[in-house]
Amino acid sequence: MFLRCGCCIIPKDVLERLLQDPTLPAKTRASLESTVAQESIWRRLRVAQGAAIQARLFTLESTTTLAKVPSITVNDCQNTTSLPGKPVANPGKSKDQTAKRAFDRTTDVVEFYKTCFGRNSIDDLGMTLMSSIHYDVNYNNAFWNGVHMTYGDGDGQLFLDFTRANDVVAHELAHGVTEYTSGFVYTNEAGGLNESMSDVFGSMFRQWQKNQTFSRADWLIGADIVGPAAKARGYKCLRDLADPGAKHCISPQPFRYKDYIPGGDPHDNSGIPNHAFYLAAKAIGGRSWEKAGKVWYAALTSRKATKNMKFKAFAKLTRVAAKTLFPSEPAVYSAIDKGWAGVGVS
Amino acid sequence: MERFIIERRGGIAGLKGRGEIAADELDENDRETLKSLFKGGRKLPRDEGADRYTYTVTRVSVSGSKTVEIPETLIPRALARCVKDQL
Repeated sequence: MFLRCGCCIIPKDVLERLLQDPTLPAKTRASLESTVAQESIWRRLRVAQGAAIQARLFTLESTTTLAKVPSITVNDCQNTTSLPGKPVANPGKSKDQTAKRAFDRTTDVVEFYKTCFGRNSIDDLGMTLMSSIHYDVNYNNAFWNGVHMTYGDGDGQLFLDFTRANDVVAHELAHGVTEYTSGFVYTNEAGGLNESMSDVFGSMFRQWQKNQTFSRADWLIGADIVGPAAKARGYKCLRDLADPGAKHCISPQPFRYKDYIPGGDPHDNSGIPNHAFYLAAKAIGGRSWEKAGKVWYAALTSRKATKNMKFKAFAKLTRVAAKTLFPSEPAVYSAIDKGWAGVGVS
Repeated sequence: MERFIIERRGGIAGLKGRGEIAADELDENDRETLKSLFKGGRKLPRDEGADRYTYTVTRVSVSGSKTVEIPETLIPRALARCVKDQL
């Protein structure tokens, strides 16, 4: 039997052993017990709300907005794996640059969604956005755990502090948006779409912050967290939407549907919809978030988007959105169509 | 001698990792945790959210080998720590 607790799913026998382990300080055991008890309730509430939205049990129109502008909080894990960590007071003015970056970048991502897509936080109801920083020791990763964003410091060699990359922060937050909209599961083609939404909106956010047009954008993901040891070996990003298979990518990806990897990691298969978006934005020109981005957002948040959706069905939603949003601009529809055709999704 | 071969995938970078550790290098708690994780034929539920690591752990002993997939939140830290990024 498994007991679901706040930050993890721990086998009941393991949890009970930890709580009763006499070698652990009493304070640690009490803290663990308290955290488990509180986060369990908190997580269930959030998960239930997300599930209700995905199941269309209630509409946003019938739901009370939590806040016009979401609160943004930062917690410090202090190089442990205990989530969410200790609250950071006034993170926007913190001397800890990681705390300040997490706060500032999250604030900017909120503004990006509000300005470009009219969205109020992850749930569109003003949900508080919590970031946990300094997770673990030399942790080379950032993740969304279904409740909040979490960032590692990196080992300083392969990767730098993950809050350094604005697109990484937007990437993690976008996982939350996906969870509260289409609910794409994390396997098969839907898993590739889930990861792709985070890369696409992460890259768009990076471009929006710099007010870049298509041709000036670098279309890279994670360029600002690549450490010296990785750079010395020729790597300059995690992924590249313009050239997903490039050697300069730490994680090169397939970008033609014929090369889709059945059962593969969502970070591999996301290369296909990533490149479709790039090609569509290229064909449209200008600023990616103004047209291609609006089309992708409309498809992601469409009531017809389903959690096990395949690439072809999502492509169809983008084509419908292009016609609906830009009825007097057939070039947008053509560009979207061209994008998907370019990766072999017809 | 019993040993564990660990392969890691996932994470925002999608960077794979690999490591190996002998059972006698683990403390009693970790050995017990692994024993319970390897027990039975059930598949462990994956972590919620996205960009989490997933570990494929193979226990090799004189009596044969067995492999299980372990989510990041359940993997004993000693095993996670012996994994090296494969760049």
